[in-house]
Amino acid sequence: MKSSILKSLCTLLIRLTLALAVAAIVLAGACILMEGSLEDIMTAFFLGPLEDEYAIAEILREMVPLIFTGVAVSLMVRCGQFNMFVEGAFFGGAFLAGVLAPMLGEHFLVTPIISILSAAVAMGAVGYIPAKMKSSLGVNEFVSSLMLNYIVYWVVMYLIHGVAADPDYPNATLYLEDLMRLPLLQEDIELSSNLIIALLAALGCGVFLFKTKWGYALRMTGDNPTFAVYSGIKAKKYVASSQVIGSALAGMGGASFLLGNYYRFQWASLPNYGFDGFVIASIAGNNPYAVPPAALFLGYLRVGALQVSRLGDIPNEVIYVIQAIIIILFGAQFILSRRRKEGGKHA
Amino acid sequence: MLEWILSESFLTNVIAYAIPIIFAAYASLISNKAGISAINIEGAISVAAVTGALVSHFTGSWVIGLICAMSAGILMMMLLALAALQLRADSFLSGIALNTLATGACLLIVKGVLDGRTDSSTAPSVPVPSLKLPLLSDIPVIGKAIFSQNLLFYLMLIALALIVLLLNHTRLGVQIKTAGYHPEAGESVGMSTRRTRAIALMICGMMAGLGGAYLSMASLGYFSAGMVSGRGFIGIAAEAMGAGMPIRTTLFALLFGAVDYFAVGGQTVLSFPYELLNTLPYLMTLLALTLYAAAHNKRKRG
Repeated sequence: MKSSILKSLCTLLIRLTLALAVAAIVLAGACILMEGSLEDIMTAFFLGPLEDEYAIAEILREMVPLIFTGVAVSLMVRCGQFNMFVEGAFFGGAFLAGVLAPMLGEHFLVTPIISILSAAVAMGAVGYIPAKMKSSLGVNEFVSSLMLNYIVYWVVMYLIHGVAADPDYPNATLYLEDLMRLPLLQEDIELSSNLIIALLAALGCGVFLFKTKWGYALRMTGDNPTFAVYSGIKAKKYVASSQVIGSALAGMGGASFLLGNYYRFQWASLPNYGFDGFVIASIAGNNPYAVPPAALFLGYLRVGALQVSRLGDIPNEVIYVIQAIIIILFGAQFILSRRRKEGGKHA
Repeated sequence: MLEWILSESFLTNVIAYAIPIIFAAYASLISNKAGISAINIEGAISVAAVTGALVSHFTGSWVIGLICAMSAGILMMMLLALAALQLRADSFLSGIALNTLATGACLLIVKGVLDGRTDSSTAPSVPVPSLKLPLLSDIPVIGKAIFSQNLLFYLMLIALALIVLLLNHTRLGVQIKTAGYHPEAGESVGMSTRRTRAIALMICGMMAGLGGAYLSMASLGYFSAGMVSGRGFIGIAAEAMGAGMPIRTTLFALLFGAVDYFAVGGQTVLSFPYELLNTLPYLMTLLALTLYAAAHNKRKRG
């Protein structure tokens, strides 16, 4: 057990070094194209996120959605499911929390926790749609979950332009009083306790995936569905449940993020956190335990890109390019390492 | 409402809305035939759209814009080939990554060229012209809808004919199908599956490029971030329901185009919240996928 943790830490370290190299190369390229000062940009990118406690708090804030979506995606990919509903569930969960918390009133911890759990249940239920379509009818979960994202988005837009809106504040939900939100861990830098929930979720999923029968069957279904069925595992059940749990986790993430870091729900577009979940999962090798460090790392890169964009030469979007290259490289590496393992087994 | 649906402009608009979806569906068809799923069609369309819009604006020529849009589509698919065929990364994961890359690249390009704007409305594209066929365009109803459409509509018909021809009557077509159905059989007679798939992805990229060019150089007249809004994915769904058959795929894509236009056009005609109307194309795709799968399973059992 201990050696396996050590080994996964080593692989993580190698991956992170590689990712840093990718980021540096892309930035240098962008720097040449946009004619910025290479030294300033590199300093801002690598040292900017660590310059003061506010920048560090920003990294910790960025981590929360990344951990939730990363864990959700890891769980589904472990079962062989490429479900994109994490994006819609995160959005829908945040919206539900924004509506529910003011309805429940000001009760310390009770209001946010009930809101978060309800968002998780509701999004898990919506996530059952692509899950059931896949397990019973064999409909590709990728396309169906994408369509579901757009549907959730437009339904939320409808509600927020109408019944769910604050009459005095158009296109937003009611103001969240302090007691409706998750308590702050540190007042000065506005560090919310949702980070703790995120870490607990990652830990819980790790235990679920590696220490329970259900988790074992889920991984087995992902590794080799035919073998799983032959050995008496009801693959369909795990295909569906992995997607439902993943959607619920994403809904929970959206709710925790909103109740920790916002005063109203007023997002006007899908936040793209669902796709970030795939970046995290591929850095973490789909291992829930490795998700928080991966999120810390990506949070660091994000804040770095933000600092670079403040210099004015390179827009913040450069981070998308860096992320895409990281996924592809890690995807390639991941498959290679799996192949080597398979070869070893046969020998 | 019925009056609106039966009007001449309704059919014209349905076809106009279906064109990008049809191109996306063709892109998906070719790549699936070769046995590789290209889910970054969405991203390729978007990159092609921004390329076509900006190049046509700065060169003043829609021909160069169109060619560059197609090249951009091909480039995005070559990146998929590099990741999935050369580096052997998972094609799904690479597709997701390349869609992310496209989102970033489009914004970077448009912000870089136009000083921080997220659309190119200040630099309008040189539009691809419409073509009015003499005599035929005077036929009532279908005359306007079919014979006085944008040039890209005719290119789409040509693409359809070429795809049918390619798949059924050429050596490359047989190779592409072999790469999809039974790559080992192809390898055993010396065919390179990887090379064939790469060629198929090039055609796929070309189709996506045409779809992107239509969006930014014919339909809207400029590029705007998020303008593709899932049309690439809807095209993939249309292809899934067309079961790899070009004509059937076209018909399903047309159907999705109809719903897409119904959602947009209905906003002025129907007294129904536009947000809910906007869910229609996606709801319809979901429903169609379910029905199709149910019917397919029943047939398999029966």
